[in-house]
Amino acid sequence: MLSSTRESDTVEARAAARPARARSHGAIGLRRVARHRGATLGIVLVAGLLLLSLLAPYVSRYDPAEPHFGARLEPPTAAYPLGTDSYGRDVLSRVAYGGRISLVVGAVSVVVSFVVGLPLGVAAGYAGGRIDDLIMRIIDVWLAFPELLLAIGIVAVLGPGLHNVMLAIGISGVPGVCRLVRGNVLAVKEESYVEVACAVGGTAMHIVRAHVLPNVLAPVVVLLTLRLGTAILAGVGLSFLGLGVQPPAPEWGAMVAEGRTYLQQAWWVSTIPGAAIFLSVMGFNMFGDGLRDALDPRLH
Amino acid sequence: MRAWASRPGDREDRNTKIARRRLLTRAAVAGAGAAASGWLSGLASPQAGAAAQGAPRRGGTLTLVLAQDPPSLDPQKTPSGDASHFLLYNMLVSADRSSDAFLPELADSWAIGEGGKVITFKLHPGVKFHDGTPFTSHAVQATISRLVDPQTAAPGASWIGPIDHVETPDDVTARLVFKQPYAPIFSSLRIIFLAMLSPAAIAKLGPNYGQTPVGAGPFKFRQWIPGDRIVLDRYADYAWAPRFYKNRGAPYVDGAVVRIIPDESTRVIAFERGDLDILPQAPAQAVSRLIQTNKYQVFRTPTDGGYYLGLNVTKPIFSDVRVRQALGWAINRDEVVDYALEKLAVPMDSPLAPTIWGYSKGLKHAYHHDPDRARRLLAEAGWKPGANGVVQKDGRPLAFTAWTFPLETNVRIGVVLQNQLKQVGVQMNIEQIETATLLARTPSGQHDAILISYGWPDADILYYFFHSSRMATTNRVHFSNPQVDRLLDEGRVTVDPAKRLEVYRELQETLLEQAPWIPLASPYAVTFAQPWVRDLYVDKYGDLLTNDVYIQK
Amino acid sequence: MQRYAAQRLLQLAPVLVSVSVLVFLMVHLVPGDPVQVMLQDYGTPAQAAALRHTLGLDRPLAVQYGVFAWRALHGDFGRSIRSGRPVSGEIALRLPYTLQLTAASMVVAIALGLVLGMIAALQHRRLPDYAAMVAALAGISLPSFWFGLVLILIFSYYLRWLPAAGADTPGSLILPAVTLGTSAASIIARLSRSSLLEVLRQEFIRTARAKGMREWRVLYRHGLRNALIPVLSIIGLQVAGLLGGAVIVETVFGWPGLGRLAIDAIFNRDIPMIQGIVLVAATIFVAVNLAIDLLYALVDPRIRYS
Repeated sequence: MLSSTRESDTVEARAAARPARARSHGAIGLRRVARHRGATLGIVLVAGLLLLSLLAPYVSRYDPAEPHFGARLEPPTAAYPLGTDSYGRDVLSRVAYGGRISLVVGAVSVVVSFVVGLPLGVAAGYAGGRIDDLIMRIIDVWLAFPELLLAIGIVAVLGPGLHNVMLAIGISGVPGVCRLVRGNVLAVKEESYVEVACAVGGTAMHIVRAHVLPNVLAPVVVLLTLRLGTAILAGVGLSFLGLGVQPPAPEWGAMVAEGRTYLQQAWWVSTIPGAAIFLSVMGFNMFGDGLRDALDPRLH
Repeated sequence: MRAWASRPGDREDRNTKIARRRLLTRAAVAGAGAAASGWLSGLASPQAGAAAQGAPRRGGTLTLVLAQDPPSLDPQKTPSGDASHFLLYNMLVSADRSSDAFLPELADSWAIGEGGKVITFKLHPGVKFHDGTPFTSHAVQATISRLVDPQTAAPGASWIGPIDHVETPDDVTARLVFKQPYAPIFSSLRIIFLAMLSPAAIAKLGPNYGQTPVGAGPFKFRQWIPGDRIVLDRYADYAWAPRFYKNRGAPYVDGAVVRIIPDESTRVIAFERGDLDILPQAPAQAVSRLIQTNKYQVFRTPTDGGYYLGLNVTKPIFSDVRVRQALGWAINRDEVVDYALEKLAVPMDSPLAPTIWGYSKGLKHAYHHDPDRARRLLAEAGWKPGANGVVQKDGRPLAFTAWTFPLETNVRIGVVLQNQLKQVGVQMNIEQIETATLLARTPSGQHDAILISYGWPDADILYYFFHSSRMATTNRVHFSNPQVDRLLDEGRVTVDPAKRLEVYRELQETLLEQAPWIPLASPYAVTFAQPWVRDLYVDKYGDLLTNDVYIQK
Repeated sequence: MQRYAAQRLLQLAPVLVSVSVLVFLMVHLVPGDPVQVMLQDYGTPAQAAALRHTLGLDRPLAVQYGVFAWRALHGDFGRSIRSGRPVSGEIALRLPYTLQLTAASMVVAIALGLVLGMIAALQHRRLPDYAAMVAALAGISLPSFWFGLVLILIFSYYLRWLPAAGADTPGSLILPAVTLGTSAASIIARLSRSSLLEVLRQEFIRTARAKGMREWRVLYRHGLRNALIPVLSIIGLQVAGLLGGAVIVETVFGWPGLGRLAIDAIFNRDIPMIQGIVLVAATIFVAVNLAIDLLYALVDPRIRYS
């Protein structure tokens, strides 16, 4: 089998795939991350958008969902710092509140991928043999099924809306997580200390918890960060197809889609939420890259 | 080419708004400059486009656009017609482009007998299909037999009504015999489902008719690249265009290309680049910008349908007629027109749009914006102010979810309604849902409400929406009312137009009073054409009339 | 090597069978009835029954699956419910467009990605490195429908260089290929940068440098080939992903590829069409991945299969 050279099949996973050999990735890793310029900028971007969403009620003077037809497509002014959309809604308010949706879609769907993918990957990697074969065949099928079609299928079965979108995106992210985890578990399993733990008769549960998981954690965290950006974009794509969050909720993707017919008259309506998407995905990616660099001893 | 009726019934396919699966012609406001000034006034009378300057020129290609491939070019296998169909086919009759009259097309004349149960057509002699087969009464018979054969599974089969059989006393006489009179028959005869097919091709092609379609229309089929384009060639022998055309013969252009461009924004840009000659159903958001460029001919006409909010009357909150009526008063249709439809619509005061035959003016149960009255009705019905400004009764808030299609206009209307209903304490949620899911879920009554549109030129369409026999299919509001049933039945068999109008007036009053639907607005169709497209005409339903068109660059 | 290839080929069978079962279950689980969609509820019960019978939808599910699987084995996916044409024919019509778009976007992705990656690696921790990596990140951070529309506005609307939609001229391929290729380019750039960095640190490169070879030459002669190996696997993934994932770009640019066919099929509940497309996409996916794995072995002497 070839699996050890191809730990993971998703694109982000590959970027994150190198098993981390750093033993003490706690303090040293964090310091490295902090020193990494890209990672810092990434954190700043993400934190900024997060802060904007959290402080949405203070940032915005307007209800993000309530139309004001007297003030449609107003360009940015003092009253509306980022202009208004075609319903006369304040774009700043909508972007601020929209972050609560888009960022949550990203976060929750990533959690779904990991909650399913991590145990599967650990089981496959640690148990090996038949169980490994079975799980990996399931993952093969999962991967061979076109991702967007799977997501659309799930939304078509369950109906549109926030929860189902997160579920759909989360599920389509499982194979990548599973493969990455499995590959790393395989690598760790070969390490002498795990062999020792086995030899002295530790239970599988204990060995996994005490030795395997901590050592798999680093690449998993990296993948998680990178995957956040992908998940946000996937949510945006589903919104474009009308399957995402339902109006008048201010989701970023829906805002871009809705405003894009006005692009030539009122650029701000879709460009600003587009920029928010761009910056958040970029932020997560930069942070993830930095994290990986910091945790990968070979790059130092 | 010719006008032809829109798809029947609900406009609920995904592309409804985009192309409505038909070519729209619409009255042109002549010349680009004239179009910009005062184009919002004086609607309704169809007008011609850029006028002829000298003799029409032969040659060139007319490029049109659709949002999606037609399912089939077989007119009996498509749930709606579109540009590509009407360029290929002819029907027995056509609608006059400006009046309510029906004009001869493949039939030269007709007589109605036996109280409306028999219609005898004299057919136009010398008509040949694209495959050379002569058009005779046997073609009429073969076409209709195929349409009503359940094996054909033609979505439009029911629109021919209670037909019994077709008689062919001689080659140029076709007699349609009905089991009972069917008043809306002429509206049906001009739609694409009743396009005349070549009997030879039916025998030869069978179910594959749509792959190499054969009609008697102004263009014949050459090629179809799915997802990209349909290419048609001029049919040189064509000589039977309806009489409102100056050119009764073959088209001036050498061919027609129907491009498939799914994205609305891309479609507009392709038109602005000059890649398309005609942009039908321009998206409302782009209309004012395109007009301001002063570069294009603008055609704006009403359409034969509109948007409505349909309330599932079996749901507890909507079983009380006062609640339904309250929604009727709570809604400001002018706002819907101005803000959701960019002023490109008229408010609807009846379930029928003003252009539909049977629409009555001045209905006494018509709704207008009166939020106080809405609040009073809700209070009478026992709904008290509750949390978050939403009225409640027995601890339950008056909240419902309206299903709509993921189309921009539908969603915009939804957002406007949402805001208006909030003012009277009603919470409306929007859920975008695909056609297939809606079709699957409304029969069992899982929905609270639907926010969709429909179109059909005759009041008989209400039969499908409100007759109790259509329950669980097209009667999506699960409405059942003996008086409404009686009036709908009567409207079908009343052949005298004056009497029939009276029936539909009473029906509209009852439907408004019972309020299973809250009528909203009937959109205009706005068509843009390049300056080099000469003599284009758009009829009162927004259909394109293109047989006079020539290209002068 | 041959044994390995044969073994891998054998493993494809159960994967494809599972995919076929899965897609079959999915299309029958999704609410919506193709007969209803076809007739739009205006049909009579007799028509619906006739259509249901013609389509074989009145048979037990297991039988339907059996028929579908047996036919699919012979390359026959039945007839599209919507258009009435053979599914395999429709897919065959669309596949060349999808392959064209995939190939073109891969050219964009590889060219752009490698250049960015090389600049970044050579100028490690200098301004061009950061600039290249920011550019690469930007590529994957843009929503494609937005990016596509902006490209159309610039190149097709304002500059009028390229058509906005369609598939009739070579020029119409450029914008969709760039839109699709950009995000793949980002991934290739990042990956080639890190593998180049790794390679450049190796002994034989230092030797080459010590011998006085110019930096670009070192990179070209020794670095690139080794750095390309991981990039190869990404290309495989991207190629496979594009087959099912180009829906949005195909919609924006009116490109008649498989993705749009798939979306339309889903919305119309065109069961045979959905099944056919998913199976074809899955087959290509596994085949491409297998090919990549084998190619891996050929280009990387360190990998040996037993």
